Amino acid sequence: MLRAAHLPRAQPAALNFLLVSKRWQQTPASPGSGITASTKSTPGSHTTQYATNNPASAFKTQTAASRPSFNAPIDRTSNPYKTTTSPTSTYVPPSSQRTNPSSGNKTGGGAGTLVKAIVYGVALGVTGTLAYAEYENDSFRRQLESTIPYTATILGGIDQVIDPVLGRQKSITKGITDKVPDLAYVKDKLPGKDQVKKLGEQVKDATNQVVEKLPDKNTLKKVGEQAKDAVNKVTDKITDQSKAKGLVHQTTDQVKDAVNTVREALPDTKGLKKNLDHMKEQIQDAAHTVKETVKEAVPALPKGRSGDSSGKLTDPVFIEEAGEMAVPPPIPQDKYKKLEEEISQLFAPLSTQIDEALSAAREHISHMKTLIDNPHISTSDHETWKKAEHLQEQAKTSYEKATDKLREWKDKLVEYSTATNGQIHPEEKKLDEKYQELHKQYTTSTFVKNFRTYIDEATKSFQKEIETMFPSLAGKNPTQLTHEDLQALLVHAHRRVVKLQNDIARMRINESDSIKAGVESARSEIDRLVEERVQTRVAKTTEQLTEELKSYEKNLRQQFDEQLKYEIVLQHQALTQYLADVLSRQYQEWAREYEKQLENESMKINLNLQNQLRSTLDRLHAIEQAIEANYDSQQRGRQAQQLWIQAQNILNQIVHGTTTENDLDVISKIVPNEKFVHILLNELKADDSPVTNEEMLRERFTHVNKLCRRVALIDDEHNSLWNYFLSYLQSLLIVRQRDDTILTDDAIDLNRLSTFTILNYVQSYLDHNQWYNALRLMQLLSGEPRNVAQSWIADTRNYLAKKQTSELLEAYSNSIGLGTLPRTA
Amino acid sequence: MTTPTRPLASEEIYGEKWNRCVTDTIVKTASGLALGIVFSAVLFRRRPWPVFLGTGIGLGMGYGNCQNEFRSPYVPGQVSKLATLRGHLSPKPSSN
Repeated sequence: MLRAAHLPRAQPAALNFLLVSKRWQQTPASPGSGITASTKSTPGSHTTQYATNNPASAFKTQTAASRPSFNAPIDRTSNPYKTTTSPTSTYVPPSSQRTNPSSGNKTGGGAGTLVKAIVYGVALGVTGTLAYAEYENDSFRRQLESTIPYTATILGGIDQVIDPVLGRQKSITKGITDKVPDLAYVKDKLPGKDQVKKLGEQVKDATNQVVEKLPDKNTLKKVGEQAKDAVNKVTDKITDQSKAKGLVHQTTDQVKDAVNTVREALPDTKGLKKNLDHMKEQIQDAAHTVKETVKEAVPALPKGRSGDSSGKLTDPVFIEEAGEMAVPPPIPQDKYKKLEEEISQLFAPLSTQIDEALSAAREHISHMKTLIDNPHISTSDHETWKKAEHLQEQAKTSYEKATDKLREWKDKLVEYSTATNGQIHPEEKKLDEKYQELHKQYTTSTFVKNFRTYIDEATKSFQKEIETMFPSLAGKNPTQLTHEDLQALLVHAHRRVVKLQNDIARMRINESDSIKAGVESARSEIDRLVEERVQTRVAKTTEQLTEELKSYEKNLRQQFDEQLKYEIVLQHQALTQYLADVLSRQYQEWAREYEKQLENESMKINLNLQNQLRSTLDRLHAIEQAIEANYDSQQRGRQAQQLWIQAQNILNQIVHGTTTENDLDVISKIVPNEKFVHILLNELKADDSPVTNEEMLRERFTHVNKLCRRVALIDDEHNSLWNYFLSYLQSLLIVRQRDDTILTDDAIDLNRLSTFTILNYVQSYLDHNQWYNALRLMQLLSGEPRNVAQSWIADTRNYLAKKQTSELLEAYSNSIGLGTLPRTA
Repeated sequence: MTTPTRPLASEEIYGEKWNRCVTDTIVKTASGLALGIVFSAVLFRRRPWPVFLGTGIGLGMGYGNCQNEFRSPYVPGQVSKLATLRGHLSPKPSSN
């Protein structure tokens, strides 16, 4: 390869630069030095020198070959390569210059660098740990987050950046928490023990209230006193009358009756029962209210409808509102309404009847009262007595009717109360009062009705007495009575009166005692009874209440248990559903994964098969093509032979003689299909240059040589005739020689080129048949010798081009021929 | 032998130029001489100086022409008008 052995005359700055670059470039390997050598030439060289350098530089590679091959294309392509290397080589030195000044500052900042080193180390450590934590994403990260406070936020922020980039997603199974969903909410809804206790206490209070509401001893005492007053009244009535024993009997009977009335005026069993029923009703009301409060306090159970359960249990973690409490079946309202209607229907006639009876009784009593008060009434007054009897009968019948109706009414009431669980008809109370009064009055009337009989009895006994004591007097009329009889009677009467008075006095004494005693005994009995009854009632009611309470408690407890069970069942359902969800999700995930894998595998297999199929098909195609190509190649081989022959022919002609059109046409006949050949042929045909051959060019060169020597000194400036003469003289004096050194050493000293040296080189080249080099060197001529040699140069160029094309043709034919040779493994 | 229609090769132009130059100088010198002789004979009473003047003038003119011709810009292949004219007068290897 031609090299510039010495630098051209360049500027001194560039020279320095080149020196520096040379020092840098001595370190790379020697193959690079060739490139650098040419780059050295680029800064200061002329374009012509540069152009000639590069083609010359490619020479060395082909010196081994006998024929120079495609140099011209390589020239053009090698230029850009050479130009690009120069920037890279220029790039290196400035950096070398830059590092030099920085190395000087090292000794100055020792402490500063230590600080810097520490800071860098710390930063490196922190970033390293964060990066590792981010990458690892498991135990180390968790440890870090747990120990150092702000790393969680930092890593979370980094996560947000990195996860979309890397495509890291937390899988669904990891996303679901490991903890079981919270049951506290449900637990809160269940009633606590405190609430249950509170409710029990409430129930107890209600029962206590009810128990208090029972007829207590005070009222009983009051009623007893009322009875006592009645009795006193009766006894007063008795003391007013100074009647006979009948009266005493009467009084005792009356006392008995009074006791009866007292007894009956007291709250009788029925009344007590009624009251107790009333109380029971109250208790039940209280219990109901308690139940209500309990209902409010306790959360209601969910309604057991199947359609709702799936909807409500979609979110297994939270169970939302509960349903309502299980309500007992409602009271069959129509039954008791009917009863109520019947009862109210009965009420009106019944009340009227009772009123009637009452009025009848009252009448009778008033009549009897008048009778009793009136001392002059005798037994013979039949009218009044009959009236009294009549009234009494009336009263009795009406009373009996009333009682019958009342019984019916009572039955209905009982039914009603059983049907309505103890609710009492509102009109019952009124009727009860009325009935009581009626009863009172009736008893007095019955009591009073015996008045007449007592009176009758008393008179009869008196008469008997008189008859027995004074039988003589008995048969007589009152007008026939003698004075003695009368005196006897009077004495008797006196005696009797005294006796009676004594009796009365005794009775008076005893009465109060007996009454007191009776009253006391009655009272005590009543008290006892009442007490007993009360106690029994109380006991019963307390028993009942406690039972009810227990049952209620049990019921509540049952309810609570049921509710709890229900809740547990719900929870269980929720948990199972949750588990089912999780499982299903996992299953889906895995199923998807496996499906994917399966798809991948199947695709791979599919592709594999397709590939195999394709490869076999390709092989088949190749075989077919090979066969065809073989046939083609054989044909082409034949063609190539002919082409080669012809090409050789043409070449010879070009070199030594002239070409004719015929030759070229022959070739086109041989290979009608080859485009390349056609192009070449066109090129050859279109060549307008004068036909030359090698011999002629050589001859011409000798002539040119001579002429160029003669005008060697002539250029643009020095071109007078005198210079012509001088140059001629010089040419005579300079010895002709042939410089064969160029053949061995390609380096041209560009500074020492002159016409003579060039011509010597070219002569030696031509003598060795190196036309391309000769041409290249000839182009280095300048001035008048260049002008003289111009046409020779052009002609040589054309000749060489033609030769090249024909050689190309031949080479192409060779290539075809080579292509058709049988392939060897 | 090349035909006159073929453009001249550059090396031959040099030769051509020289031919023209020399012929031109000879002609000019001769004509100068002749004129000098004539002038000296006619006008200047056979003094020798017009002859020398004439030849000198002729030589000089020829020299100048020659020089100018050599200095003219070189276009390969172009044949100067003068050359074609002179080509007819003097036999050249390039013509016919």
